[in-house]
Amino acid sequence: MSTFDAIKDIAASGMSAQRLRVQLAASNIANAETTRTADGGPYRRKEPIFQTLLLGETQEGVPVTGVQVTGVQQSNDPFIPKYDPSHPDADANGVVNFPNVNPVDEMVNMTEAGRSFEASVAVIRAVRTMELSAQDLLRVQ
Amino acid sequence: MFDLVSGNSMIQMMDRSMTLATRRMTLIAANLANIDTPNYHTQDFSFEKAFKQSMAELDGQLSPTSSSLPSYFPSASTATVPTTNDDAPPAYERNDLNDVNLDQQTELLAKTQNIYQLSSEFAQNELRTVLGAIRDAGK
Repeated sequence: MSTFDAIKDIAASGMSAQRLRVQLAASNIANAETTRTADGGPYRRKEPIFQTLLLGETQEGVPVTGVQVTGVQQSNDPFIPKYDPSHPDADANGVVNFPNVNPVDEMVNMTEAGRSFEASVAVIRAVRTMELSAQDLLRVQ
Repeated sequence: MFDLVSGNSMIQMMDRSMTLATRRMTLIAANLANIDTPNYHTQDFSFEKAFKQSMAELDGQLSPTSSSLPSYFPSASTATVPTTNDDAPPAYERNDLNDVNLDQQTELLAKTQNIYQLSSEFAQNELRTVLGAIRDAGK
């Protein structure tokens, strides 16, 4: 694997992992008030599990360590109870269980994902500049 | 046949410096991709130490008699992989055992990119000088 390609692969793996994280945050925010899901019960907060991913080695034997999302974990935190007897999903006491999603947490999560994504973009930008300066070596006149 | 490049210590030096810079870049990219991976430890090596080591190796090789041998060039881009992996200080503000520091890595990214460009610039300059010498000789 060419070193520059390896670096871009690493950055790309980071970008796609962060994108999935934002996707899950969006899903959590959109479903913050969903009381019915296919599995029954209210929606549960979803979060990605990150793990290192060995993409191979460069010609010089430097490990190429990317990142991958190995799974999506459903949070088992307690649901948020609200008193609303007129709600169709209210129990005998008139309490409705709302999803265990905290919008503030999700916002922080999204900001963090955005920053990490930007870091990977910065890597790709830097590598592109490096490639250009390597190509400049051919222009000796 | 004359070999104007592999016997030129300036170009050799810059070649190694660029090789080391891309190597470090691979590690920085890995650190930034894994900035949110639990239990991940920062990977890095000391550029200065590695470069000094390469220079020491180069000094041994650059004898004028061997420079015209065809087999002379093989180790040029296979400078030994520096294995120094100094432990980064633990990040106490995090609780996922990940010690990647975004600011530090971003700074290293810019620094490494600059080293690469500077080396490339120097190598190009040297190549220009060589070319100029050849041209002048032809006049």
